[in-house]
Amino acid sequence: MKEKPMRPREVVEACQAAWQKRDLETAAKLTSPNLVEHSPVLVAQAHRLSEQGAKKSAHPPVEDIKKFLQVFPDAKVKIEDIFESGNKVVYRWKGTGTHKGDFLGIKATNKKVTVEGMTIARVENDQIVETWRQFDLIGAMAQLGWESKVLRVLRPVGSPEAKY
Amino acid sequence: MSEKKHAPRRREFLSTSAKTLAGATAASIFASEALASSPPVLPNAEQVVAACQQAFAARDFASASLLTSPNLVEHAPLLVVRAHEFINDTSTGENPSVEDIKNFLSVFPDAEVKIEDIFSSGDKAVYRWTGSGTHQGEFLGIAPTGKRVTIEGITIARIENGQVVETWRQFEFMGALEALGLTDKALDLMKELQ
Repeated sequence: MKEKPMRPREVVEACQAAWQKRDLETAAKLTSPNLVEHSPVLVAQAHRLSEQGAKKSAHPPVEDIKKFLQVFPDAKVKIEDIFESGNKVVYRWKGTGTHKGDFLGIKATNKKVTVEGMTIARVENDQIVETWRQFDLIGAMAQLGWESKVLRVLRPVGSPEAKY
Repeated sequence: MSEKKHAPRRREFLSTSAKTLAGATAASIFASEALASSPPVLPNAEQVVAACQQAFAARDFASASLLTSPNLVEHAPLLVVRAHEFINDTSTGENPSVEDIKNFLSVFPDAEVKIEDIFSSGDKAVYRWTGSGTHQGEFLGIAPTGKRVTIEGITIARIENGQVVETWRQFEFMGALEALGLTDKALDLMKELQ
């Protein structure tokens, strides 16, 4: 008994609300396991690095949330603004969390970090199927102690220059 | 190309898509004779943003100035805010956001911005863009590298009375700095500015 389809905005809001409550089962239902993500190149590189030798998960996007929560267990994301048109939604967010694990090559600092960003999501059949994200990575790094070490860690992986 | 000749008349303008509008200039929107004799019909958020981008692409600063509020409120990544503080105040009394673009163009004279996606709702528009340019001027006190760099970003703009009044921007600044080989230097500069 399928209810009437959700608006794209409702899908995004429900998905965000779910993982805020650590209800990853609901988050998984609202996100396609074949989600296509467009992230900043450095994040994509880090992601590739973290997946080397790892077993393919049944639901990679939710697996990513789990991994992220190991690094920032108290992570919270507040949606500051959201609007939609057609099958796309954009939301501007502010995330906070305490840095408790290895993140992009930076060891846990136990510092509380705030990062601002925005995400465009494409929704199909009540699921997020594609996202484009940008956020203030430099600002976040600055709060972790102005480390540019992350870049040195990532440089040997693939060829980031090729993308720029 | 004569702007007047291509100025859209009011009725045509109402049904003009953003893509077609990008071919018209802001001056033609605001100064069109058809508009002057009838109540103003303002373009929607997406059209304003597209026309503004088109104006910058054409280096048509007069039009860009009409489409951007002189009191624009900008929300930018931390390093951009710091960079602004770093750049000496050389204000000429011009529209500040247009002045910023001019400053930027003195560093990246061939800068191009391609809009990859755009949509709007109510008074806000969002666009996803790819910018590219060659680093030919001093930037944050760093000498030109002559390197070409491409950067991706997302901007949300709020529109009032046919002008951009507030923006929120995020882009892959760190990726660009890294491509220019400037990350360590930029982070050092930010430390100093803290």
